[in-house]
Amino acid sequence: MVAIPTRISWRHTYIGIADANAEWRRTLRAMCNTLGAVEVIDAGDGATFMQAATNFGKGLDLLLVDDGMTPMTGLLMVRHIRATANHPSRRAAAILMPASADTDTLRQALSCGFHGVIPKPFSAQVMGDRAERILSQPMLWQETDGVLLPLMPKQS
Amino acid sequence: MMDPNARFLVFLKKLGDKAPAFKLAHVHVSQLPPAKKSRDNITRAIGIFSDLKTKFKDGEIFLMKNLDIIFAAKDISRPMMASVCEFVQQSFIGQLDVTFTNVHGAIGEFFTIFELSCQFPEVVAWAEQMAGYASVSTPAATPAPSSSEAPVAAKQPADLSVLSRIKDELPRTDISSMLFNQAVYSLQPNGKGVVMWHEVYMSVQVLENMFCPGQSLTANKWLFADLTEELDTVVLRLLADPAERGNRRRMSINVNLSTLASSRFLSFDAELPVENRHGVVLEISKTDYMENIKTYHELLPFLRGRGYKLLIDGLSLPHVAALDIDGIPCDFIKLFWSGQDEQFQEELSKTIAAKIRARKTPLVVLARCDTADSIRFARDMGIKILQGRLIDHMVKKNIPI
Repeated sequence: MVAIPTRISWRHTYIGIADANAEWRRTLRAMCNTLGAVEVIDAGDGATFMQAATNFGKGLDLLLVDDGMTPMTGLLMVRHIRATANHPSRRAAAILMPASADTDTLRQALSCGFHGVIPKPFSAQVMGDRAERILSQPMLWQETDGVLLPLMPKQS
Repeated sequence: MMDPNARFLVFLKKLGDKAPAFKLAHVHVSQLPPAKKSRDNITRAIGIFSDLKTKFKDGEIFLMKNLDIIFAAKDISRPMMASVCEFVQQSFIGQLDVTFTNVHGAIGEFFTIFELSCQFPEVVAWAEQMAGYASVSTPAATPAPSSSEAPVAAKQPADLSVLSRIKDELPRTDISSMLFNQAVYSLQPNGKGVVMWHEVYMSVQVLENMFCPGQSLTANKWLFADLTEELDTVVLRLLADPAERGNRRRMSINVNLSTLASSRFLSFDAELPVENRHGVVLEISKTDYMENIKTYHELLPFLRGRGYKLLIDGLSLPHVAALDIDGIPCDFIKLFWSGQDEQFQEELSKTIAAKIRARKTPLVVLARCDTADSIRFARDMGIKILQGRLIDHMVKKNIPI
C-alpha cells in the first residue's frame, strides 16, 4: 500500500481575503504566498469581495474573513455565500479573523457557516495549520433553511 | 461489461442532486510518451486513488479507454485532491516538467480538477464527447423517404424517364433489403428508454444505387413525390404479408395521403389483424398535410376508427412557432432536430418553448437526436418521445438518457 499525502497542495489552493484593514490584507497575502498559494484575491468590504469572487471565475477554497467590515460584515457575507445555491465558493473553507474571540463570536461564526475562528494577529504557521486541518479532511455539510453549514468532526 | 468511458458518463448522470458535493480529477496519462504510461505506473496511480477512496465518501476511479485516469470523490477539497494528483504525477514522471497541452486546453498541467458544483455541464459535455456521443451522426446511407431536405451532394437529378423505369421495375423487385427500422423511444422517469414503435422506412440511397447510380431521386421534389406513391404501395404490400411483417407489432410507416385514400391502403388494412392496426402509426409529411388538408380531414374518422395513430412528420422548430399545433388533429407531431435552436432570437425561442413544453396532445416526437445538444433540448422542453442514433446507442449501452 502506498502512503498517500496527508498535506494539501497550497499551490492549488485558491484563497479569498476580506478585511477592512489594507495593511493586514497585505500581510495575509504574504503569508499565503509563503505557504505556496499562488492565486489570492482580496477586498476591503463584503460587497466588493463578493464581486471579486464572482469575477475570479473559479470557486475559492479558503476564505479568510474579518468580522468588522462595513456595510456588509464578514459574518453576513459568508452567510450570503453559503445561502446562494450556485455560488462557486459555497463550499469553501471559511475562517473568521476577529480582533478578539469569545464563545459568542465562535457560536455566531459557526451559525453563519464558518469552520473556525483565529483571533488576530496570527502567524503564517497558525493560519496554515488550521487551514490544512480543515481542507485535508472530508468537508461535510448540512443545509439548514437554505444555508449550507459545515458539519464539524466530533471531538474525541 | 460496460465501456469505461460510458461508465463514467453513467456515473455523472446518476449523481443528480449530489453532484455539487463532488470534485473530479482528470489525470492526463494518455498524453505521456509510451514508456511513461507503463502498467506499473498506472497500477500504482490507481492504488493511490484507491487509498484516497477509503477516506473520502463515494469515491470512484475510472480508467478510460485512452488510459487517462479519472477520480471523483465527495466532500474532498481541491487542495487535497491536487496534493494527491501531484503525488500521482511524481509516480509517473518524477520531477520532470509537463510541456503538453492537455485536452482541456491547459499547457503544462498533468491533471485537471473540476468542481462539479459549478462545472457540471462542462464535465458532462466532455464525458459525452469521450463516450463518442457528441460525434454520433445519422449515416447518410439511410435517410428516410420523408427526409427530402437532405443534401444531395453533387449527383445529377434523375429525370422523368428514370423515374418511370423505376416505377415499372419496383413491383418486380424484392425491396425487403431496402427497408430499415429505427426505434422511437418513450423516456421513462428512471431515464431508461422504452421502445414505443419502430419506424419502417426505405433507404433512398440504396434505392438510388440499385436503380440509378450517380443520380439523385430527391433532387426533383415533384417527381420524387410521385415515386413515393409507388413506394408506399410496395411497402404496404410487403408489410401486409405476415411473413414479411414478422414480429413488427408496433411500427410506423411513411405514407402519402393519396395512398391512404386509395384501394391499395384498404387492401393493406384488410390484411392487417385488428391488434396490429392499433400498433400502426401513419407518418404523413407536413407538406402533404398542408397541401391536402381537406383529404386529411376526410380520412381522419376512418383511420381513427380503424385504430391507426396519426403523426405529422418533418416539422422544424420555426414551424412550431408558426403553426397552431393544437389545431392539428393528430396523435403525434415529429420535430426534426437540426441544432439551430441556439440561432433563434430569444422571442422565437420563448414562443417555441411555450408551445412544446410538456404538452399532452398531440405529443411531440423529437427525431434525429444524434447529438448531446438534442437530448438536452428534449430534456429542457419536457419531450418524452425521442428517436435518433444517439438514443439508440444509449439504450443499447443501458445509459440513462
